[in-house]
This record gives sequence, structure tokens and C-alpha cells, in this order.
Amino acid sequence: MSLAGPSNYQVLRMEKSDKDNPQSIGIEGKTISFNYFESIYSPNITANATIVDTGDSVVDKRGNLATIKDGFPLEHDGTETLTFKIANENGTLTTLEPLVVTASPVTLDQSTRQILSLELRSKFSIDSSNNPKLGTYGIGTIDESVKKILIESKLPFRNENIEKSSTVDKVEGKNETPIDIIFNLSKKSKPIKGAPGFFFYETQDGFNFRSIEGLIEQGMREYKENQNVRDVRTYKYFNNQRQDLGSNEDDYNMVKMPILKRDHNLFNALKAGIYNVRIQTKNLLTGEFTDKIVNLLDKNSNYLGSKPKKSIDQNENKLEKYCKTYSYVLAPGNIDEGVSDKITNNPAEYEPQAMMRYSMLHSQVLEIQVPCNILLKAGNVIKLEIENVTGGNKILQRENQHRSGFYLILHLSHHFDPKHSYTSMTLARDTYGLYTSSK
Amino acid sequence: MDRKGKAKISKVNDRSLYGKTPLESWTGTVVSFDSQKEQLEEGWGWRYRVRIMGENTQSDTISPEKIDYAYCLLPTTAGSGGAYKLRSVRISQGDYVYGVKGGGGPTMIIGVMPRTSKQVPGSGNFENLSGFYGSLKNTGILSGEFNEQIGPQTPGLPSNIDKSNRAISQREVESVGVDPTQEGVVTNAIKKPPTTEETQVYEGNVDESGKREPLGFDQFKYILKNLTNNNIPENIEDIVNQAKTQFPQDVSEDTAKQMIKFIRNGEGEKAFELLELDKTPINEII
Repeated sequence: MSLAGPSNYQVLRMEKSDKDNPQSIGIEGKTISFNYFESIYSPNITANATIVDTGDSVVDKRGNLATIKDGFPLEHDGTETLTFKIANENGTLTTLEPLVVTASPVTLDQSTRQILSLELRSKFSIDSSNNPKLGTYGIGTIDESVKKILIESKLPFRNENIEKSSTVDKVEGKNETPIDIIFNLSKKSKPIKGAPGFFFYETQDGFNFRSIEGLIEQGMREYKENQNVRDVRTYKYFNNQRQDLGSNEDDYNMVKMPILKRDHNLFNALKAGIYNVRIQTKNLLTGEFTDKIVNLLDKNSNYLGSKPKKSIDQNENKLEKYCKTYSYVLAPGNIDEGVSDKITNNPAEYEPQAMMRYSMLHSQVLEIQVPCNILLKAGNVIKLEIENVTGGNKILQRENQHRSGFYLILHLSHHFDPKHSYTSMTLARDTYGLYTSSK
Repeated sequence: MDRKGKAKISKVNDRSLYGKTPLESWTGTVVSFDSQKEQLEEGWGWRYRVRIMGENTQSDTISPEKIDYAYCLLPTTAGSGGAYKLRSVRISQGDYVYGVKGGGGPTMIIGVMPRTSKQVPGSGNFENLSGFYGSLKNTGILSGEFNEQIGPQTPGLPSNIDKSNRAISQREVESVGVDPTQEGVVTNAIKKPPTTEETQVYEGNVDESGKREPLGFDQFKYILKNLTNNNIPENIEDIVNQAKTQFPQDVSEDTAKQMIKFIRNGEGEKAFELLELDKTPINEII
């Protein structure tokens, strides 16, 4: 069976944990579409399902047959959940906890049927929303605080998915939800090696607090070291390829042409401060004013393509040209106990570089669709091999050297319907090139 | 070009400069000064730990020592200390303050909400602590810790009397020589002070503290002018010495000795002339 074949719902069940009238119903046969979403921008898994209901799904309180919407009834009070297990040759897609129904707008209401769209969200986002934090997690490395918050809030994670940070800061609850607290720490955190900039997001495995550098490094390493990873993370696009979605041979071919949503743009790069920036600070304790032009590229950074040019049209020994300016007013010791003159996690030292790194990662954005691969998760690195257009001998160079290469999965959606299963992805990468280079 | 037709490059520093991103405003309560003693006694700047409403709650367990500092922004009239121009901050513990934060800058206090006479102490983390702390003791000099349009009362002054309902100060007006019933402009308001008649006999009595009875200058001149051999007062030396004490510019030490000598010799006129001579400006004598 091809990975692009019809959905195979092992479990697709809606439940209502109402004390007076608990309900449970399998909706495999009624579901015409199920979409599962992950994104490194989003701290929560989301999903949606489209259900065709002919009014014989459940028995309502008065003993009459009714639709799920009206007989359950769906009230979106946090008691209604959907459990799913969808299998294909690669494995089974599911979540650690059932998804919560947050809304269910009716898209069509006729005399004999009702078409319902279920909006679903990770249970953990609902739990987190009801649980704002007031405490302080002390001054320490940010990853330690993130782990404390996740454990305290019963938000699941794998130890290896909470990446170590070299940033020391004071983390406080400030009446924010645990997810919001960690989300706001992302841009302040610096990995052990490379430029600052983390993402906080949820996947099938639980919560992830990962740096751009860490995701790229791990993705490239796994790809290079593990043949199994290479097998399921390499996708090809050639115009002469067959499109036989009934066969396994096309499981790792793109099902349609990749769409380039964004390409490297010099104006945008200058505006985002990818090259040189000016940084000004004023220290309220000493009165000292600093003003310097710096190049933010980190020598320890990992890139998905070739190493970027350090600067454009510039004498690298004496930085003179810059486009963007950052300015900060520093008040040392404000978060410390007693009286201190220490500047903890100086924003001038992380924010410009984090902004640069986030922007750089999004230099190229591409959308692709492939046969469903439930092994892929947001944050994974995959390799694309795109056909080379040449008037010469194509056999000598099949892959386009410029646009082929490694990409990071920003957003991912697994789509299932009675006929097909697809995975759609938004990919990003920082630099061009089929091959990576540290030179 | 963006959709509005402006070159994107023109807004390159849209969000990266301090002041370009909107600051968040906040309100909060200054925690007890006990928990920020180190800052008050040996700290730098004008900084106070403030429990911010919304970020903190009435019952959270964050100790005051762990609350972040907020930095005071002073008005232009307070001075920075440059050229020694400075006015101190008047924030007390328990004050409810207003400020801004964010945008790449510190949390700043920019104002104080005044306390009212009807303020209650409250309780919990946001209680309205008395501002008195350390050497500042409540002496009761004012009727309460508040600052509103009807200010606090001071002791000894009637609380309910103002310019509109005060009584006419008849007695006080009379004491300065003005007839309160007189209409029109008063031109001779100040009474002539009481004086000693020149003809009054000088007894030279000494009171319990050893002070001699004061001598009028005109009285002294009259005594000297009317000296005759048969009419020399017995206490003439006391009179001259008293004059020397009271009128040192007119009767110097030497003048006093000379006067007594002339009077003993029956030359009272010369003694009187000495008094007139001593009043002559020195440059005329020379």
C-alpha cells in the first residue's frame, strides 16, 4: 500500500466525559477529512476533522437519535475529546493525550445530513490556559527553568528535546500561562554553541524547546549518520517522474511542484540586520553610552546550505556600513536581590543576533506536498533533490546544485481522507546550496 | 515596495530602537522598605521594588526581596544632580505607583497615586502600608497620611474655619492701633510706643536678676542739663555708668570718667557738653 493511499483509522473516537451523560462514539465512517498540524511557531498541536452526520450517530437525553452536534451535544466546555490512531506503513500517528474539541461550526445543515467541522487542540494548551504561574524560578540557565515549569505544569517532554542554553536569566511566572512563559523565553535564549534564537513547540513526542542551531545540527547529523533517516527524509522532484500514488515507488517523490514562497531578498536581509548592525546602549548606573557597528554572524553557527558571506561590499576589518540600528537602556541589577551592578542577560547581546538568526532562517521558504509520512515532525531537517535544468548532459548533474539541499520543517500537516493521505510542509532554510560548508 | 507603496527600507528601525515600540504601562505597590534596606542604605539610583498588579496577586508567595526593582524617572524640575541641582524622590513604602516598561528599557516609575483621607490599610501583598519607616516617626503633626484637595489638618488651627467664615479679629486690630469700626483708609495704624518722661526721677533700682532700671536718653540729657552744685543726685555715678551701658556710642568709657570728674568739680555744663561732643561725627572732631 502506498503512503499516499486512503486513511486507515485504527481509532477515531469522540468522547464526552459528562458525569450525568457520558458518551463515546467512533466516527471513522463519518469522517471525510482529518488534518493534523504541527508547527515550530506553535506551542500546541492542532487538528480539524470534517464529519458528515446523517442524524443517527448518538442518542440524545430524550432517547431520540440525533447528530453528534445536537445529541452529544457539543458544547465546547473541555469535556469533549477526540482520540485518534492513524496507521500506515511507517507507523502510527497519535498524540499523548486526546485532542480537545474547541469549536464545531456547522458548515452545512440539510434535512437529512449535517456537515460538521471539528476544531481540535492539544489538551495541554487547555490545561496550561487554566494554570497561570505566579512563582519565580530563580536565576539560572533558561533550560533549567523551562524544565521546572514543564514538570510543575505536567506538560510532557523528552529530556533531549529541551536543549541546553548558555543564557542565564531570571524567570518569573508573572501570572502568565506556562506555555506563554516558555514561549517568551525563546528569543532570549542562546544555545551552547552558535547564535541565539529558540523555538517552543509541541509535536507527537510532547514539548520541544530547541534552538535553530540545535535543530540544524541534529537534523544534519542524523541524516548523515543514519541510513534509515536518510530513507524517510529525502524527497525528489523530477518532471519526468511517474505519479503513481498506488505504488510504494513514489512514496518519497513530491506529488506536485514545490512552491517557492520566499527567496533571499537583499532589501529584506538588510532590513532584518543580517549583515552589519549598529548597537547603542545607555547604562543608567554608570551613565556609559556605547555605540558600535557589529557583524552578527556567529562563527559557530550551523547552516543548512553553504556558509553565508560575512558582509556585502564592505571592508571586513573596519565595519562602516550598516542598515539597522538597535538601542537599549540598561538598568543593571534590577532583577537581583540586594544591590547589584550586574547586567543579567543583556538584551543588546542577544536580541539583535536572535533577530538576525530568525530572519536568516526564513531567507528561503518553500511549500511541498508528499505522500503521508507520519515519521516527520516539525523541526526535522529533510533533504530535497530538485531536478537540474541544463542544456548540457543532465546525467552528469541531475540535482539542481543551487536549490536542492537541506531544509528545516517549519509547519507540517498530515491530511487523511477516504482516498488519499498526504503530508504538506512549509520548509525554510538560511543559505543556498546542495552541500553544506563550514569554510 | 510594500503594499502601501512605501519602500520597506525606510522603516528599517521600526521596532529596534528604544521608544519605537509601544511601552506597556503598569501600576503597582511599593513593597515594605524593610525588604529593600540595602538599596535604601547603600544602593544606587532611585529604585524601589514594586509588586505589579496583574503580574502579582494578593496571595502569591513571592517574597518582597525577590520582586524586581523599578527605576524612578524624575520630572524636569527635580534636576539630575548636574550642577548640584536636585530634588529628592518622595516615594514611601505602600505607595501605589504608575509606570512604563518594555521596548528594550527598564521598568520605570513615573508617578505616584496620592493617598486619600479615606484610604483603608488593606491586607495581603498589596496592603497600604504606612509610609513611616526608620527615622521617620508619626508625630501626629498632620491629621493623616494623605494628599488631596482638602489637605491634612495641622494642630492648633481651627479645622473648619477659612477666609469665608472667620470671625473679625477686633482685638488684634485694636492692638495695632486701628479702630475696627473706622471706615476708610487707616493712615496712623501703628501706635507710638510708650516712652519715659525726661523729667522723671531716675531711681536706678536693681531687680532680682541684678539688672538696673533702664534709663531714657532724654532723661539722661535732662539730668546733665540741670545739674547744679546743690542739685547733684546721689546716684549720679550709677546714672552715668547706666548711660555708658545703654548708650555706648554716646557715652564711652573715657567720656563717662570725665563726666563724673566734671560733675564732682561742679562743672555740670562741661559734662553736658561732653555728651554733645561725643555725638559729633569723628571726622568733624579731627
